[in-house]
Amino acid sequence: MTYRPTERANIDAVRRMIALEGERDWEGVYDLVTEDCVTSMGELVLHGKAEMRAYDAKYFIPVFSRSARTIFDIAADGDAVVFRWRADATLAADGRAVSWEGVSWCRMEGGKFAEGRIYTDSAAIQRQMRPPKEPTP
Amino acid sequence: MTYTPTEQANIDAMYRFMEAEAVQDWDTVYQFIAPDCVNYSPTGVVRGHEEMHRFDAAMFAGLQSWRRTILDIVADGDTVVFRWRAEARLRPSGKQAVWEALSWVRMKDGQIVEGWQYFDSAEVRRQLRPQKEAAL
Repeated sequence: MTYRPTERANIDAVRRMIALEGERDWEGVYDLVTEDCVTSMGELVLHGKAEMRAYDAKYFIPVFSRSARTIFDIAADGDAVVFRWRADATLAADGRAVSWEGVSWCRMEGGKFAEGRIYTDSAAIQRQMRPPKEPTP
Repeated sequence: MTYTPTEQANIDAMYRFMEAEAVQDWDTVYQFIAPDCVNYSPTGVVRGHEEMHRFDAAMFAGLQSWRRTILDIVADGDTVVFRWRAEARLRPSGKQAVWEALSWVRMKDGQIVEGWQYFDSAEVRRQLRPQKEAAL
């Protein structure tokens, strides 16, 4: 694959972000995002870094005691970089391991994430998040 | 955007594939799918033309209409990725659902050899679920 310097830099930025996520270095992650970045996942749309921070602080960071994404495949084309990934996480509440797959489609500006669309199957996540059934006596 | 001839051919193939699918021209659709193609989606894994024919027959039997529109596409070597919007109307209820999805496909010699479909199956089910009658 022959990439232009910008495409190569965008791929490197994705890999850096994924590494920072795995280390739970959230400030490092937010440094890679533009102030007015728009992130969407289904009907959920977050406008700007502040909304992203607030969402993560409420619905992601406290829910998982550990989380890391592994990139399976990555494609870069102009200012777009797209990657398929698997997330492996541990639920803070009971220590159960959960995993799900998805794709992120990102538009980059000056080496930072300006737009991100996440495609994942929330049904697969919800199924795993449900508390396990009590064994029948 | 500057594409290699193969990347451009792969993009063109995806547009032709979608056009053929829109009019259910299956002979043309299957020209773009390798006989041993494997497709992964939240609804399961489908392998080869025969399983794909069965899947398509079952799906389209339940649909009054189906339209997919490509919103954005990228090509990188043998990979084509495209975001699309689906508009489906169920038979016989006429219930309609609209959702966005993403296809990641690997191409060889102008055919899809492997495909991954990403969409929120919970959202699609929610839209297609029969609605409760309003309480009197």
